[in-house]
Amino acid sequence: MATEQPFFHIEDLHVEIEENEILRGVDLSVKRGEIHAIMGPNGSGKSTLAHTLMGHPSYEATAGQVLFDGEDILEREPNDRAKLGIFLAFQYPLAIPGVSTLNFLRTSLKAVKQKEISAREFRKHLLEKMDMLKIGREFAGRYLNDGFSGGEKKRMEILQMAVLEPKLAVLDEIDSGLDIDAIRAVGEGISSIMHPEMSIVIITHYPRILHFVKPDYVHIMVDGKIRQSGGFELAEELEAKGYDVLLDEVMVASSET
Amino acid sequence: MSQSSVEQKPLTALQGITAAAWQEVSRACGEPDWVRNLRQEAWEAYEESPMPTLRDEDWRRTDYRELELDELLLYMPAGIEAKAAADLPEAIHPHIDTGDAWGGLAVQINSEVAFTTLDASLQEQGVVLAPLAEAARTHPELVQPHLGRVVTPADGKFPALHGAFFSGGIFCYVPPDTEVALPIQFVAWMNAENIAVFPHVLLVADRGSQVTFVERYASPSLAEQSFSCPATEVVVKDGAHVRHVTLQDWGRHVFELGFQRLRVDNDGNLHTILAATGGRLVKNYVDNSFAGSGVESFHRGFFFTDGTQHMDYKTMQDHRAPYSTSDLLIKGALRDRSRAVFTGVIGVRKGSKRTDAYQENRNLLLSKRARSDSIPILEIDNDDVRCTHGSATGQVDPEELFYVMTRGLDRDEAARMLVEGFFTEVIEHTSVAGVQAQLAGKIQEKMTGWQVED
Ligand SMILES: Nc1ncnc2c1ncn2[C@@H]1O[C@H](COP(=O)(O)OP(=O)(O)OP(=O)(O)O)[C@@H](O)[C@H]1O
Ligand SMILES: [Mg+2]
Repeated sequence: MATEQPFFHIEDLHVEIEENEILRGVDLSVKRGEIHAIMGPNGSGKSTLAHTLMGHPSYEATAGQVLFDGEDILEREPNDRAKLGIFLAFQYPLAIPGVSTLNFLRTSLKAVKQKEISAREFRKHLLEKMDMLKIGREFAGRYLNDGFSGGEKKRMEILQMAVLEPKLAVLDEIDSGLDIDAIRAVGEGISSIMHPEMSIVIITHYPRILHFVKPDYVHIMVDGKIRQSGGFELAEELEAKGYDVLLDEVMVASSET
Repeated sequence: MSQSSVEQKPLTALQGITAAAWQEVSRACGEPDWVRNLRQEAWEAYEESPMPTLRDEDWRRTDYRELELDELLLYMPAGIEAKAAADLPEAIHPHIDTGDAWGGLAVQINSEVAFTTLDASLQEQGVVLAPLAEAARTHPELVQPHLGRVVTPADGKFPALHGAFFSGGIFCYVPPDTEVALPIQFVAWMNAENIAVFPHVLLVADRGSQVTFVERYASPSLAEQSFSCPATEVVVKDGAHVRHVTLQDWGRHVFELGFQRLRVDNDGNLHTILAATGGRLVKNYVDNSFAGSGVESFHRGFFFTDGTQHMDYKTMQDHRAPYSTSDLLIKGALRDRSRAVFTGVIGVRKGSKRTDAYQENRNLLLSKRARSDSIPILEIDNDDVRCTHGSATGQVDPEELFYVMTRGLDRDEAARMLVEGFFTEVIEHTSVAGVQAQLAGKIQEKMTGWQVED
């Protein structure tokens, strides 16, 4: 299923926020159709990586490159990256008061795909996706994320992904703040959107979501760098041992090499 | 009004704020003596009070010295006789043809009411919509108790000036327990330079009645200055429900110093929308006076300034009796080098126990050179009350901008979406659909050529 050439490739990425180095040489290669999980303790730089990939203006890449389909995208505007097919599901999605979910997503789809879609047609399309993700239709008319619960916002991120059909989705803690049933719903939603040409980088603290979105690779990020990579079993190991024990082992292992 | 002359020539001797001048206006309006006496009282109050200056707390942020009152003509005929709305000048039509069905319509051009119409069914129900002077002659029992008693010469120098010089103007009366399903609109239109207009609205919603009333002020933008000194008096009697909309969209040559007071009696319900986009320098008082107990009131408004516009709005939520609630939100956006002042007063008078008042002002600075002042004032002479107020002024939020951009919109598109959303929260409360759509269009027009700054 995965093609040979990684279509998304991060090499030795260093990122600063207000002159503090947060990412200290991240390497990551993702092929089409692959699912990569990134785990790691609070403050290790996972969201920084996600924001940098999307072009957040406060995050300055001081070294390294991010190749998407062979092109370095680090100088690109966030909207250009969206048009290339990169999507970020935010750890903390923002509310857009005064703009209905329907209008927001229609405008967004028009911008990303650069083609017109009639209001009628879009509405039908959106409602289908909402039904598929078991999101109440009334959310279409509500202002995007305005007054939504934490879990509802996360589900709206998945809805946006379903509508925009990215080639690469970076999901930053899509499972945090969700109850057990919601994790299942979101997990099943993601896997129903997933297709062999699409890739996912999923950032999480808990293996539970990974049972639905089964990663090909699991990476552990500590202190701005990926310290260990492995298969799904790494997540299970983490679940069994916890960060402290596993990280001690990782540190020992890395200091030995 | 029947007096509207076809010739658009100003009356003579109508330059300079003098007693002779208002007496001439009174003659031109053809009004009964008791109205003339009101003018006399107002004139005396005007003469006795000093011109507000930058030294007055209320006026220290609004410098209107460029207004040349003495150069202006104080009465300008409509210059047209309209038998039907279609006869009105082309330029007025966008303000009337909103796609809504109107129950009644009155159009003032300059100093005269040029056209009035009211649905026959409403006339049968006893609803009155008539030019003020005519109503003063035909319905003195309805007009006299309220005219000049809601907004009085004691309210300030310019309300006093208005009281002496008002012309044209509209009276609207809704009888007890009468529901007016379709909205009624009053348009004050001005099409000349170097004139002063003094439109007056008197709306009386009698006990248990319901009505939606839209007043709008508009003109083309002309080179030389003009002046608008309007007053609005609204009386919401016991248990009546009034939806009131004010659209201020004057041309860029217009100075406006206006005063509105909306008085609400026991168990009355008031819902207002204020939309201010026009004018060169504008200062308005919007005084919501809750005279009765158990009042519920809801106020939404916005201003949007650009260029070198200056707008100053002062709202009052004046709780004068117990058990009333009021909820006010004013939003503002400022472009270019414009300037805005918002003062929001919550007043809770002695004995107004269990008052629940909320006030919020949020402003968006769309340019670093724009300046806005937000001044909340609480005057509370009571313990057993809940008053909340908040005020925030800032730029377009960079995190929101980033979020929207990650969904494919470029920087300017994303910023526009956020600004439009900001106003939608106010505009959506406008119950007249076509007017709501017009306001959304107005916001887009105001955004034309705007680019988000770094
Ligand atoms: N704007 C900022 N200014 C300064 N430091 C920042 C800023 N944003 C993030 N940081 C710091 O960068 C580090 C990495 O933060 P980041 O949000 O990437 O962590 P994370 O791995 O996503 O953590 P979590 O699991 O809690 O979401 C943290 O120490 C954080 O305090
Ligand atoms: Mg994070």
